[in-house]
Amino acid sequence: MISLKKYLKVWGLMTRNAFETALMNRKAAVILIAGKTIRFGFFLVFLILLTEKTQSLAGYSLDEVVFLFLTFNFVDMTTQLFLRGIYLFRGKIVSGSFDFILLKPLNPLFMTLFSQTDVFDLATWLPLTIFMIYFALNRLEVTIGGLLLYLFLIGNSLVLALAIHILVAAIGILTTEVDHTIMIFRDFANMGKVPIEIYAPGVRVLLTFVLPVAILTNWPAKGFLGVLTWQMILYSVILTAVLFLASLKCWRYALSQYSSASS
Amino acid sequence: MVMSQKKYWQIFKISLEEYFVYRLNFVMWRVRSFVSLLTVYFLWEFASSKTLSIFTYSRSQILTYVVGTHILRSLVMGVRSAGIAGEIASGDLSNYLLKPVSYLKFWFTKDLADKVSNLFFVIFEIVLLVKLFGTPLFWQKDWVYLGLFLVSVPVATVLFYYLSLVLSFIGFWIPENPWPPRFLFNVVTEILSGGIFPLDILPAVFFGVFRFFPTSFLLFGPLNIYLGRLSLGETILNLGAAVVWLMFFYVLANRVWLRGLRVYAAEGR
Repeated sequence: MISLKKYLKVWGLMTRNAFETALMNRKAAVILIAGKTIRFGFFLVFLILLTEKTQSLAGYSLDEVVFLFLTFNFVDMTTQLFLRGIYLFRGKIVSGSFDFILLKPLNPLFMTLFSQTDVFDLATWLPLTIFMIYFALNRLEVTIGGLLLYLFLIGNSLVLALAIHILVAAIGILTTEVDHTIMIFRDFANMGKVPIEIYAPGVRVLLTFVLPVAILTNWPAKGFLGVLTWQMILYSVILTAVLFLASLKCWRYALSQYSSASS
Repeated sequence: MVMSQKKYWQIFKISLEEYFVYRLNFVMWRVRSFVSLLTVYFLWEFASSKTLSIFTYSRSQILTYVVGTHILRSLVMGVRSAGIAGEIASGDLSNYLLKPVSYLKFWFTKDLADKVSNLFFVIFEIVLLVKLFGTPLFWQKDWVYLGLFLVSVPVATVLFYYLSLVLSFIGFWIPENPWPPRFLFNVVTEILSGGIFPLDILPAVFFGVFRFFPTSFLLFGPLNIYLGRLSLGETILNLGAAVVWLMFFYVLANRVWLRGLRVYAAEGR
């Protein structure tokens, strides 16, 4: 309990510092938020135009496609909001400043991943969450079971995303190759912004069983819509648990192999 | 004159060689590029499989459009000159100003090397896509349209170069953080060039405005010419408008460059 309080306090301090640094240049903040909003808005318009033209997309109605897209963005933005530290990790490895993190009486994985909460993502995450809730309540049929399953699968997705980031951090220590690894993960994850059923069968298998993109981005919304079987839910939970434990093992192994670049 | 051109040839060669030094970086970049194509490709592939034509595009036309944007994006919008703003901010520009080389031609040459290497690999990616998924492509057989398309591509390439230069030169006045304007520029350009969807699928009131933006002549314009979706007269007008925008940004970029040099203080050094 004391340990949790300590980490929450440290996270609060680091987040405040990150916010203050980010807000030093307010023009930059406005421009970045505008860019993210425009990108989100135009893709949403594109999806709406396309789905309206074809009446449905892979069997999903317009409202369902929009909800799926919003859920993808929620998972994506939440992950980036809290785990932004991974993008600065390579610099710490090659410069040797990761040594200073290892010297501190704090978990280095925590310091690596959670040190850089992104204020720009928060500014877009809040309106997105509010809009998503409003949209679900007004355009979809909400059931208690669907809602609970949705929240559970969102949590599952976030743990899965955390596992992948831990894996990337471990790879970063072993190879210093972080930036491209995390961006490739994000590019694959972006394929989940639309129903996975639009992809060719081979690609669908890849995105479900090899890279768990479908589980990360599509399945929470599908759980809400009641199209997931209990086998798929069980599979997603087991996969997340196995991947999470494996990623922690990888991280511990990577730390044992770390040799400083000199600080 | 010959000696002058030799140095740019050397710059071109060295820039190409740089890609093969950081091979993993380059391969990962191509993997990322291919993956990001797949979402838009399959969206259109799925939508066009359900109907004879979608937004007045036949199946082969719309898939050729998607494939075409991937190819043209590497050629037209692959630029290294986005790094100019960083060089201005850090003061590294001073090194180039002391050398007997035109800074603008230097970066144009580096961009050309970037485009050549990207084009080489993008062709492999498209062949892979077609082989894997049996993409039906539209082949333009009219030599006039083909010729006009081949003219529109270098026009679009140079237009984007000067457009990007003008943005980079903002670094003379706002050196603190050049990334946010570049990010916004990339997002807006990607959308308004027709990189995600053809602009003419938008409601007429929006398309009517966006079609006159310089960005619409980067991808959407050339591909419309290739697909023969415009009459010959409209195609020539389209090309003419692209050339006018090119000349505008050429003059603007050179003027901003000269103004910027007057205020440049190399604060980073």
